Amino acid sequence: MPDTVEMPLETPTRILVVDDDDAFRESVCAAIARDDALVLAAQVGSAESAREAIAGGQFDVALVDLGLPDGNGIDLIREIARTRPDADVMVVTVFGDEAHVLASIEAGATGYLLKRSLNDTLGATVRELRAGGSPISPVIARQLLHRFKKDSPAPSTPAVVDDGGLSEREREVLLFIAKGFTVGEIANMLHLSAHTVATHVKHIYRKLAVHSRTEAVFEAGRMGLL
Amino acid sequence: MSLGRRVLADLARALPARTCACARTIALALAGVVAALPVAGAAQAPVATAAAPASATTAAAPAAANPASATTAVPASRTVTQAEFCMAKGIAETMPGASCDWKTVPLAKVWHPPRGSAPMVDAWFKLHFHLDAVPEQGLALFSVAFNRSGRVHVNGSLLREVGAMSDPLPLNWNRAQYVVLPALMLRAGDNEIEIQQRIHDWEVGWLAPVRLGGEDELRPVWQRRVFWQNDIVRLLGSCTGAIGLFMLGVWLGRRRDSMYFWFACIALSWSVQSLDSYAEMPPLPPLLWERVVESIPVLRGVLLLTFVLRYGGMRRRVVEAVAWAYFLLGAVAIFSGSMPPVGMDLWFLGSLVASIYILYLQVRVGLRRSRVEGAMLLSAGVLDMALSAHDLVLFSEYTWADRFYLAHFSAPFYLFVIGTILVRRFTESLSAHENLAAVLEQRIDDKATELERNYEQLMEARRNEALALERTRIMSEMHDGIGSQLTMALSLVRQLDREHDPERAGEDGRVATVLRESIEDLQLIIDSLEPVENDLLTVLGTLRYRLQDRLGKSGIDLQWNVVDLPPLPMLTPHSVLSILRIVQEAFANCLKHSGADRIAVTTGLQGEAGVDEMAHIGIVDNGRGIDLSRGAGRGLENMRRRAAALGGQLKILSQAGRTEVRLEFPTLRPGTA
Repeated sequence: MPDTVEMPLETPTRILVVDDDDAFRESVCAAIARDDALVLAAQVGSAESAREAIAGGQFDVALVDLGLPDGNGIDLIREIARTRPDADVMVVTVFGDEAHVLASIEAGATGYLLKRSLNDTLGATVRELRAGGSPISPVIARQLLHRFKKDSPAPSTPAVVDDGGLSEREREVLLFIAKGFTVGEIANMLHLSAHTVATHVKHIYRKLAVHSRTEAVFEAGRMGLL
Repeated sequence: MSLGRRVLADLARALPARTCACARTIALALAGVVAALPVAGAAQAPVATAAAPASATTAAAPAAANPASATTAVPASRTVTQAEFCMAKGIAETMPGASCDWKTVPLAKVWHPPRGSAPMVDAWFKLHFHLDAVPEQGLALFSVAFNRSGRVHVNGSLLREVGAMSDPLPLNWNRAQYVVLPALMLRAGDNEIEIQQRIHDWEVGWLAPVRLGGEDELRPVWQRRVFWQNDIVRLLGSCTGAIGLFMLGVWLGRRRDSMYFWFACIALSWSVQSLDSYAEMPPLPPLLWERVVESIPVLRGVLLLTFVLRYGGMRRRVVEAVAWAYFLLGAVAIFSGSMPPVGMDLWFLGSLVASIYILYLQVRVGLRRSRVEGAMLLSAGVLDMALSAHDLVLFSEYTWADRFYLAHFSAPFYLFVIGTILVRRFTESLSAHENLAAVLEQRIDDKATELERNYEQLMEARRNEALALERTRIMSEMHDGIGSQLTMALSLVRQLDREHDPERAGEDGRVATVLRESIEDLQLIIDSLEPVENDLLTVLGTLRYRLQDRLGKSGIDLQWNVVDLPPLPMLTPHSVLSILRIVQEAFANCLKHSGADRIAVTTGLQGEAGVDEMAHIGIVDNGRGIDLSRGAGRGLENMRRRAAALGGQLKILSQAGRTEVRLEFPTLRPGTA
């Protein structure tokens, strides 16, 4: 029985897979099957069936491909973020490029996976994500710094309650990442645990999502839609 | 004449009797100071009644030595200090006989005709002197003061006129007279000189003591006198006139600064007034001219007041209005002929008192700008007042024998002081203007530079925007197109590999490896298009991020020994791709061949920005090193080529246990200076 204390994840993480590539889905399912901590909730190949699965709500982590034949993955991410705030969304990209990743994070994703290395990294990434840590690349870190810097003087949106700004520590973390340091190295330099650093990243992602939402609300209000 | 002569004569006579006895004392004291000045040195030949007997005795000696000769050498000069005097009822072309009321009078003699008796009135003087012998060269006659026009007769014969005898009479009041009496008209023994004088009925006639002597002695005295009393005044008058006209021109070009106008008026008034001291025929009929000359001193006081107020930027509207009203009132009275002598006295007295106030004002204004200016204005004002006072005393003493007026000598100094101040002010504002122009030019330059910079930034932003759009397009093409297909193919191949050979699951087969490397190369291209914002460390960090898993799997410890670098504008997608490929190749070599378990990445700068600044990236491993003797491999060749394309070079420093692949390339940053 003492083992159960060291195993916080008694129940395996349920994964929802949304991708129109059958071979990829199959490969993901195989990877899930190989990992005891993961269990497949559902695997769907279209946006329509994905919506049904999301409505069913029986998942903890959704892996979402952006390019679906009948819809935009960004919309799905947004929907999950709205209806299932406790679930994590990971966007599945080919290159992990800043444009795709940032758009997904703004929609509410908290992590991303490269398709080609997914087999190797899925388990670790999901575990990290459930524990509160998000992956981040130097380019994305730089873009986030840029984004928050650009938006930080936000008295133009006084009606919106928005903690859009970054904390000093968060900014520090992003800067180190942008300069090519790993989470482990940053943790060493800042005398933090690697996990704490990764948690900072996830917080930043969430801030960006909130920020973009309030910005959208503000924009909509300004355009007379609300 | 700087102050109305008749009026001041009245005033001077009136002064002791009136309440301003103290003013007279001050004036006398000031005059004493002025009299000590060397400028008065010209006024020589003091009239001494004792001179006549002295010269008579010295003259007698040679005459006695040579009694047979009719003519002889010139005796020393003598001064005739008394004459017989008779005033006619009007013009008397011939000398009146005994019917006239002849009187013996001392010289200088001042005579007043009854007013309204006749337009012009004559008076006759008979001067007697004794000659033991007639000098060969004749005798020179010199009198420092002779008013107004007249004739000189010797022993009953007309010698010559002293100025025209018909209206308008010439202006002689400030001119010494010099006449040579030829030997032919003289005789040994008693001689008589008859002097006929003619004046207007509204003025005063006078004759100063008459000196008789040799031409050699008296001509220089007369010439010196003329120089100081008339010629120099003519010179100064012309100068002040020129200054006035110049200032008038300045004002015409600059109407806003009215002080130039007032200054021009002061200078011109001085110039006009100086005519009175040297011109025989002023430009106006005698009486009108007299009135103009009488009005000018008060007018100039008002002009000076106005100028000082303008110059000091002070507003004293009431004072100004009172001053002008005061002047106009007096001027109207003078020109209408209704000014009583006492009124004239008071009018001048008032302006004298006011001139103290004006002096106070101008010193105050001057001190506001600088001590030097204040001192200059003070000295000019004091000098003017002192010289005026000196002239006043000449009137008040009423000797008429020898008078040398000084007030017009203060004009040049006054004008010099004010002119200096104005010129200084003018040049100051000119240089301020130039400075302003320079500042404006600088501002325009700055603005131009700023605009240029803004334009460049705009262009840069446009380029970036276009690049970002293009990037997005390529990215989604690659992502959804070839990227997805390659990835799909890779997963298919892997799946097939797994089915085919479950033992080797997790290891890529040959096809899978090719596919994976294709995707990785595509990844590199995509990464080179990412917005790295000119940060080399982000470029390197991206590569590290991509290689992290593989390095980890290979058990290699990666040390990030980087130094932060300034933004490098040369980091375009093109050069970023070259750098990524070079560094990736270096990493690949380490992984494949070196057997190293530790790789360090270093960065740095060397050289001077704007000159020869180079950035360097080092990939240092602790493996077995590269054997260059075997000839560079294709990978190394490619790296070299790419380094050269960056304008840099690749250096390989290989030794046992430490191999550094070092890429150096120019930063192309502009100098910081």
